[in-house]
Amino acid sequence: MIAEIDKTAPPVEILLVEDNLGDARLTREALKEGKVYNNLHWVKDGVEALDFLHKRGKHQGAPKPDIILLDLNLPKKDGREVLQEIKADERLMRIPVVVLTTSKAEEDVLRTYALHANCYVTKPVDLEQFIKVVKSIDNFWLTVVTLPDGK
Amino acid sequence: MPVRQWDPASKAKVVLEGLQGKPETAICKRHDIRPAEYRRWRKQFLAEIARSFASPRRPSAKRSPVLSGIARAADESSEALRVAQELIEVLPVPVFFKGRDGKHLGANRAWEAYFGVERESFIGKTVQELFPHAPEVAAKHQAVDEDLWRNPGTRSYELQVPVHDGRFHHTLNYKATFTGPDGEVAGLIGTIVDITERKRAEQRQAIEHRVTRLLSESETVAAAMPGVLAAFCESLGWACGTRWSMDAKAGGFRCEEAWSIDDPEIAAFLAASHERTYQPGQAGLVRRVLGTGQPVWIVDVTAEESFLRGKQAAKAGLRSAFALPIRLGDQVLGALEFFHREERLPDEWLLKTGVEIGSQVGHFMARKQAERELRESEARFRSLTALSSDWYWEQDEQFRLTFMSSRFVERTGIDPAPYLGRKRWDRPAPNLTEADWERHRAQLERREPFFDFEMERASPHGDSIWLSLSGEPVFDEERRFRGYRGVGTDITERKRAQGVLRAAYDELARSNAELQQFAYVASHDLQEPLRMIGSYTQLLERRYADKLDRDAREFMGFIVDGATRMKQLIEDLLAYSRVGTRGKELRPVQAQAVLDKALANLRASLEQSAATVTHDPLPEVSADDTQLAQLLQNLIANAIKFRKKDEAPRIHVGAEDAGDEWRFSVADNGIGIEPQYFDRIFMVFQRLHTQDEYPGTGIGLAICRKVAERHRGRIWVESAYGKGSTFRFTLPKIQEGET
Repeated sequence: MIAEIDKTAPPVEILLVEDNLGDARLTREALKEGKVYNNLHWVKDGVEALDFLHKRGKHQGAPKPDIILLDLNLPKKDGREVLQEIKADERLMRIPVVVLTTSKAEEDVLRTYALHANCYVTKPVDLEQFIKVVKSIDNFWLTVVTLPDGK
Repeated sequence: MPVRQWDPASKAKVVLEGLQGKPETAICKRHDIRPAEYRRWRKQFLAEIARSFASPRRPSAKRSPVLSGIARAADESSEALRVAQELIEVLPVPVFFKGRDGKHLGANRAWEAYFGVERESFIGKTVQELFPHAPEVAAKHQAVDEDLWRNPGTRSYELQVPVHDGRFHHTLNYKATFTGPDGEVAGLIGTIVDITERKRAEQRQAIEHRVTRLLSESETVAAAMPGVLAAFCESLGWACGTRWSMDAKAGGFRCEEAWSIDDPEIAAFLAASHERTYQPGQAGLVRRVLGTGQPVWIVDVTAEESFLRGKQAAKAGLRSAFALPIRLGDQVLGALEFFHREERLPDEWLLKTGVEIGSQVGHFMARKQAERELRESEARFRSLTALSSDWYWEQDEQFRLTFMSSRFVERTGIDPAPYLGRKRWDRPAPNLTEADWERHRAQLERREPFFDFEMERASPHGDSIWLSLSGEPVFDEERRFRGYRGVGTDITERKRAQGVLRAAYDELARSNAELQQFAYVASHDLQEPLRMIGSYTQLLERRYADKLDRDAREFMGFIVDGATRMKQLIEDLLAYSRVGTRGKELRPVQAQAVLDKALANLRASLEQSAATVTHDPLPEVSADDTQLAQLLQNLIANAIKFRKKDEAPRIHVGAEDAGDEWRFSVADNGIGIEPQYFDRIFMVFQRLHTQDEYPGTGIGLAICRKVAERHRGRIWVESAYGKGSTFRFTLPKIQEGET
């Protein structure tokens, strides 16, 4: 079931901001089935996410992520604030952010804030669908890296 | 001053002035003579005249165009006497002579004209023969004559006598005896002065005076009328009088009050008059007066066929009658009616006098009516103020409070004293700002009425009393502003209730918002555990399918299926709650564009089901386009979903003008709905079919209803089971000025 992963290329650095253990694990499992060789970095709240991005505290040696998967309902600092700070920071604003929402309704609300997320993904109940979503992120990524002025 | 020399002819002229009725004092003054002198002249004059009549050579009347006796005497008497005789002949005053036997000897031209009789036809006749139709008159004259025969000298008396036109005139009769050569009384000479004008003026004044006094002293018309009728009858010698009034209830008129001289037969006649109600008409007496509004005179009621009470009148000995309207301006309020026992010809003066009294009575009735209305109005006002919980107030042209009815303190417990003499804004009212007062003052300055002006005042117990005032400006007859008057109400209770209501409303709004929020958050947070259940069950299946038996895999299938459905339910519930909370403002949108959008969303299922959708020309409506699209989409999706197995769906979207609103319809040829479910299908999660037959959460039509209601419209269904359904909903039309 798990596809062959090309490990010769440098891994894609993925930052997953997710407080739910189950969702984090699911994301990891889904990525396992994807094609892209990746390094999944998992932080559990907004504050830690920003520490990671700014290489602060225990994340001093953290790499700059190639993509951020951002859950919205986070402790300490929620996803909206994190997204706002990323997009306000010149060094970070080019990192693609995929916002993970619980419902279509939530996505509609978020759009009204005009937060400039690159993509919204509603987490499906169905695993197959979830895998499809993660794979689409894979594809998205592959598209991005093939762009000449990409990373 | 030179003393005037009086010749006999001049003296005679002076005396004749007196015989014409001029008062003695006026004559004396005019000619500058003493009364005693005047009286002496008069005595001499009359004696000389009388002597001439006493001559044995009395002439026959036929021979002389002038007073024969005087003429003959004149030849033999002095020049003065001749002049006097001629003067008497041409005098405008009736003069006559009678012999001791009571038979007439002669008279002058004025006498002939006054009585309308040639002297030849009465010389030698007695007074009874002269007045055959007025025995009372003859009797009176004769009584005076007889008195004179007994006690010679002069007499003067007033008497009403019938004259040339048959009418009775007031006369002042002056008679004096003269003696013959033998020194015995030989006859009398008399003059008649017509004092009708003066007499009538006096009578009229007396009647009017009496009537005025009666009316001013009486409380009601009924109390005043017998006296008024008596004043007229007694003064003028009429036997009885009645008042008639229009009786709206009985639809005619009837006799109200009456007065008569003391006579049982007349009393019986009047009693009969009271018996029935008459209708105004063109004949009869009172009937005609009320029918035409004009006075009517009947010389002989016993001979007048149209006079309905003729027989009774004849029995009562009544002969002449007249009636006249009681008027107030153009309005006829009733009539007055009078009867005389003797025949009387129509008399303008009498009618005028009657009409004058009628007018006085009319004014009296109007005044009494006005007084009664005023009393009733006051009584109404009194009972209104007594029964009303409102109070009454007045303020002067400076807007200072001048009056406050006692209900104020009874209702509010506030002593009005500190407010009296002050303007409304001189005392604190915590609810009103200076700007509020400014507006109120401006309204008063414009003299406009005001309504429900609410004011908060401090009660003696320290809490607030709420007053609501309404007032209107008061102007006097010259349209000068005099202030305001109005009413006030204690609205403290209402204000309190309004406060409670407002609090309840706020609480309801808050709890409603909380509920919306709750539904949103709950459905949102419910998704996460669902996702865990569904996803991990699938992950298990995916990774360990070869280690599980068929049952386990089937069970896991149910778990995933349940979780998926639950997620759909939650999504729909969320959509339902968002109709109220996340709607856009209503603005004009083309329903056609909205329908196109809905059809685009449904393209896949439309193609798959081979459905055909037709539609009417669609209007512009005031709507939230997203929600309206959802409404149409849900209805059309249902029409596709609940289609017949063997028939392609045909769907028609209609729109018709229904006055204030547009009525839309979505009609299909599907399976239809049984009537008992027409209401139920619009409720949340209410379904008519199992998931196996027709999948769904039962929220689509509930959302439709919520959308319709949010647009101030209604939604309902018409359907024949097995034949298709028509869903209808209304949207209000765009109002003028709404863009």
